[in-house]
Amino acid sequence: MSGRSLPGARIAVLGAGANGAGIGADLARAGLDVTLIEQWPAHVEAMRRTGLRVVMPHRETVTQIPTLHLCEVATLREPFDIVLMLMKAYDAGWAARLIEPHLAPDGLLIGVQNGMTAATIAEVVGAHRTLGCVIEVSSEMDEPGVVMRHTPAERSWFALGSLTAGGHPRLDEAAAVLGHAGTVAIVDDILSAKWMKLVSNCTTLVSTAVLGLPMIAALEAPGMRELMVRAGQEALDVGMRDGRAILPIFGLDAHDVARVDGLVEVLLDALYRGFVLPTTTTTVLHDWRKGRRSEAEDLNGVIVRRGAELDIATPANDALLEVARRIERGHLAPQPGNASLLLALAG
Amino acid sequence: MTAPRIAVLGAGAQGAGIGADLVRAGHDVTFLEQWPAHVETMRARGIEIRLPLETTITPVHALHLCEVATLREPYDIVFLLMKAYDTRWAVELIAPHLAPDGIVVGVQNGMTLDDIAAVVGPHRALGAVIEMASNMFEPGIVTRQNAPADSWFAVGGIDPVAQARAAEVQSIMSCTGTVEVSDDIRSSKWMKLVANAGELVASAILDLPLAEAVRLPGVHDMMIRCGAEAAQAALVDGSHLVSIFGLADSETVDPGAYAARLLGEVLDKYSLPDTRTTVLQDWMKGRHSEYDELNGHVVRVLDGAGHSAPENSRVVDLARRIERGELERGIHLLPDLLGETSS
Repeated sequence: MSGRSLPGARIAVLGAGANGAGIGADLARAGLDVTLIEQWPAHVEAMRRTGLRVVMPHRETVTQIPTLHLCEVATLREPFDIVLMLMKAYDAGWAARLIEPHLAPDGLLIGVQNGMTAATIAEVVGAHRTLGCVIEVSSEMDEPGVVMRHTPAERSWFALGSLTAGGHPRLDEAAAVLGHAGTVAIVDDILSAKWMKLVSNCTTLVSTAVLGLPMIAALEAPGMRELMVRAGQEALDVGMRDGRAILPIFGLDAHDVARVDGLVEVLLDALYRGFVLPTTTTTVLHDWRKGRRSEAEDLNGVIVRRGAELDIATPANDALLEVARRIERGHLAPQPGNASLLLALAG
Repeated sequence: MTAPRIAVLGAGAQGAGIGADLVRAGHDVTFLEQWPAHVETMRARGIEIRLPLETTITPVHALHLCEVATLREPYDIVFLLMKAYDTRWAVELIAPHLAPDGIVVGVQNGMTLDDIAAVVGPHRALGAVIEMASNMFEPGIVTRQNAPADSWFAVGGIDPVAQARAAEVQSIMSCTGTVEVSDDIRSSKWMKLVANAGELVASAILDLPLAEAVRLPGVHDMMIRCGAEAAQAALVDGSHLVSIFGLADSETVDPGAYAARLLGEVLDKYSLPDTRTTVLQDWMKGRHSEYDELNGHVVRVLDGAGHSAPENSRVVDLARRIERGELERGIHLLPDLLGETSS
């Protein structure tokens, strides 16, 4: 160990959006030294002015946390020991470059995000300063300074693992930090765990967003559950061909995932049971509603491209990606009527 | 051919000044900027440019960096005016929004061209030498000390595809200064580093406007020695002592004489009595400066070839200690800067 006691570690949350700010609040309230770094100016100003408000199903907290605008990174003097990166998957590369000069030589940059970003991060800071992470936290933010967290710490789940053989000397320390924000599973094969999360994401994120509906309503639309399971199965098939192991995520155990047959539905049901409220909409729909690009290329797009390389047909993911692109070009709006287009494209 | 879609990534003092000229010349320009208050002021009141003989106010289309994720149409030309140390992440941020045949022009100090090329490919990367002085201490208001008639640029690429675009970029930038196309941009950028190595950080260490710093005993000579080390580094790196700032081609191959000439030119033409360098402006704002990309680069290149760079090493050491908060900048550091202490 570095001889640094836990309470003394300097921690940054890079990307203090809905999930990032909520996790940052948990860490700050546990007495850790946390700085939030965020790119949405109005959100930074609101948090500075009145503190960060986190609204959970049965309680609400307001926390004052040191917060920097992105442009203030250039004023930092002391390096960070642990940086939790909660940017969109497509922002992982530049965000890692931005923070790298401010990461301690033995620091850790942890991509607490969807998508297969661990290699991107490791390329910038080195595998010895990277941990892979799976996040299962559901929250939303429409108003600056206010996070609606559907899954408080007791219902949030993370997996954490090393990218280097033989583990990482600071893995337990990082797990203890993240443990203030949810249950943390330490896994040996974090890239497989991230792929399992990708399977789940490919099943639910873009598919429900395309309909412009909450996740539960979208799943109930005619033909949708079947299409979603097909998309997840394609993602699973691509991953298995790449040698990914099947691992339990979301707090499932080995028994739950013992059978490959039906595994996608097991994941789908575990997600909906544990992490989805009737009003929950996905991060993809949030991006679209804010006029932003979504992670579709980093999720279903990964399956489509890798599938093509491996000669595995991915018609359901092709269809999801195509509709997402039409939405992002402004040719379509997210709406329930898109279901028929989606089903027709997927064949 | 339709009008190119242009972005100015980093609309600080220099970027906003150049961007305003591009807008006034009728180009389709988007400002992408990370200082929130500056973006908001530009949106509300336009960008105000205080030139030596006139002040202009220009309405501009300005976006916060966080709004890059809302962009749909790619850019044909991106003028990058971020600090040298921000090059890599800034180019990665904008790369998904660059047209397949788009080009990023690094209008910056420091040897940033390879960083740009590493992200978007050498065929989509141009480097530029910039010689003008500006400052900004209030959002939305730039003081530009060199009007376009007195500003100077050189552009060029390290790849033939990019180099073929240099004339187009030259034509677009002609509204904001004299622009030359360099057929050896690496050497041209090194020459700017020769000029920068002497003046930028050293004057900031003394916490003085450049013109005042140079008048202190020993400083002018020290700056020339710094520049001479940089010129030597350029040669070691395989570059040549080429003409910049529109100076007539010189026969000189002596690094010291060359550095003296460039410093003289900066002092005569590109700084006013109150000009504070970009490094001092950064420090006044509590920000990190470019010392490592400037003097640090000289030290590393010479060190890699087995040479020492005592003047630049001293500058790097003092700048590092100032940024760590171990030293206060000011005239009291003059003996340290000149290497006259033995602490």
